[in-house]
Amino acid sequence: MAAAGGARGRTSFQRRAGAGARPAALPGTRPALRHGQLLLSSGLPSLDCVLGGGVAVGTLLLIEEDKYGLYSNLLFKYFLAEGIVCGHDLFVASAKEHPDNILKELPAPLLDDTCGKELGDEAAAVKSEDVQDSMKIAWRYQNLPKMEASPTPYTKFGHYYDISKKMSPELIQSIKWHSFYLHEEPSSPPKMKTCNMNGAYVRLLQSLQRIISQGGFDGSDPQKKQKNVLRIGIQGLGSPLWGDDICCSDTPEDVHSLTKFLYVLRGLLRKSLSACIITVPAHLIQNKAIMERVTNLSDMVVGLESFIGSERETNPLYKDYHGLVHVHQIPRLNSLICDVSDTKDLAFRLKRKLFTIERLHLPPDLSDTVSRASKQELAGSAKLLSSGCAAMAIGKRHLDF
Amino acid sequence: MLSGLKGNSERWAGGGLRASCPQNCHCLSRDFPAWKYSFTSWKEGSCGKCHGEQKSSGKVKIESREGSAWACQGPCRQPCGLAAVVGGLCYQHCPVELLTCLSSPAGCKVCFVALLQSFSHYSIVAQKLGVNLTAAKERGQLVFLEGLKSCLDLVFGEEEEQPGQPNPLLFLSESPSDLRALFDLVRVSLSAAGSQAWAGPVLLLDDLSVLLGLGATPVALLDFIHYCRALVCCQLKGNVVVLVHSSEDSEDEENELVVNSLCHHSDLILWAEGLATGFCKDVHGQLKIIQRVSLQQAGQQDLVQLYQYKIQDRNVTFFARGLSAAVL
Repeated sequence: MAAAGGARGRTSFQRRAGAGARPAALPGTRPALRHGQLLLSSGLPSLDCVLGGGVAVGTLLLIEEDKYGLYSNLLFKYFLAEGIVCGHDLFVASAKEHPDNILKELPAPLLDDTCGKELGDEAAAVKSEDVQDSMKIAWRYQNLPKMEASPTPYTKFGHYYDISKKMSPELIQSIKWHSFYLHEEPSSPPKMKTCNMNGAYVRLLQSLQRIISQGGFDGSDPQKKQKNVLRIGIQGLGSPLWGDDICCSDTPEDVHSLTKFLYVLRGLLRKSLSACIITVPAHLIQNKAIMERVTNLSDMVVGLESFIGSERETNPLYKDYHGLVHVHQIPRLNSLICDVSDTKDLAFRLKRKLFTIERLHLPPDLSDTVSRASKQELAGSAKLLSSGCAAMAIGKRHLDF
Repeated sequence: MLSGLKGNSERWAGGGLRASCPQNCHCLSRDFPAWKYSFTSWKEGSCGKCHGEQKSSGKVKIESREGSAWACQGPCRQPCGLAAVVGGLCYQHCPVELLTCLSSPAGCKVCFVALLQSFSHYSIVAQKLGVNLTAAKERGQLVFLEGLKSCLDLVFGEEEEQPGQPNPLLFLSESPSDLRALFDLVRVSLSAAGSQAWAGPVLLLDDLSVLLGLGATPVALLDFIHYCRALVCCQLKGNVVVLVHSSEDSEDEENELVVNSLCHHSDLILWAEGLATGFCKDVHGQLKIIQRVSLQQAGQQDLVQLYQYKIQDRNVTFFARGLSAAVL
């Protein structure tokens, strides 16, 4: 491609100018390599890699919340912050916090040089070690590529954010955003068919459809030259605050509201230039059948499992991480195959300023008895710990002969 | 020979239908709702499975016929009947679109009820497989129902629907136990005038499990499938291909009920699931093909074939177990 050669000098291969009308690129998007769909960044470059390049326009990303909702909230904010930085329009819906407060607490974007410095520091430290110690014992492995802990994106697509700083209000005001706070919405009779859906969901759908058609995101306004993407964020869907009782009991009264909502939302997304992130408190939903149906109706489903308060917090296997990431579903858009990454064991950690999703790897074994048996004991004790027999596990750690 | 309905059945048109097996076996035993259509009535034979009798079903003669090439090795007969495609949980879902697309050979009239994805998705996938859905739609060979679009029209549309054509997903806003409007669409599209030019009709249903999530009761779903079968398989001598989702440790009882019932009635079951040993780059899953010979001749075992598959960009390759690229 001429673009790649352009940095270092013109190559002989030049793209013919004007060969076919190129559509005006939407800000903050790039076409996927495999299926040509437009991709948006989810705000977290490591999550983009896991999802196969990013969130495709017209799809739904469902996050199953962790137990206290801390990390899923972070992902939600990253998604919205990315929208602001790229100049997309936002639609924020919540029943818990007022969207104004959510927007006030978005993380500030890391400028290119500082971000490069943060990551570059670590990389440089590693590289300098490399040069000094050439391997003496395992010298056959000297030239193998180093294992990448976090999948590196090969194009500069997403942005990095600093959680310790808040986004400046000027940046937030530079884009157009709409909010839906359930408790402040007027409860007028809906102009659409309710289909026996929960009233809150009906109002949310109505509001969303109005914004999409008025903003011209579904192509209904041919006059609008500059098209833009609408990023939709819905927080805590399915929780009792929305009037849904699927989290409250095993046999809820209205089992179908959430799935009907997701189906109509899917229809709205597919015909408009938008992408949606939804966080669902899946750990509260007792009827697992509902979660299965919800998973089938969403395009991408990522579950977060944090270690707070569980036995895994003290497990030495997981000492570098704060939780696990389970990818339950990846979409197959316009093709037979989907971009599944090779690593299935993913974990996340929250460093001082950055949140990353990495491949889970065991920490180096630096105990006194550096032998294979100790690793097996750890793994065995980890299994026992997670199944709840703590006393037996401790006994197994120290084998006394 | 395919016995049309299990068990003894009484009236059909206008008054509902009762199908029951006098010997109290596991066949259906319940009332079908009275949808006012007139099918050619027939006298039923007894349940082929438990009584071993094979009476032909009255006026309508059903015969098996050689079907089109399936995307798998080995000779496969596609009988005139119901094929269920079951997708289990796997990292790379077996592209059931592939199976459904290829199940409609050139020259067949197809009614495609696509509830989960948009038309452009199927059209792009089909183009990679060499089938042009847009052209087929234009020449009238393909009738495509896009569930997402119909749902939006129903929910947000104003009251200006034509009275003759109710929205096929009417059960969403009306009673959830009545999939009649959906069946009307199928009936109108497949038995329209001029469809005699095409060979036997094919009905493709992409993802019945979605209807459960939208509020349809499992019994309504089963009734709908029953009527589709009676129309397409028995009356129009076509085929029905249905896709459902299922998994071994699924807690969705309604879904399992529908899947079990569907498998019970199907002549051919394609079960796609991931490998039991986990994720593999070269083998994306395995496909179990079950030909229900026992439905046609009592006392015979069902024919089970097992293949593994790998999905590529434009194709799916099937191979026998142990012959994957990872091993050879």
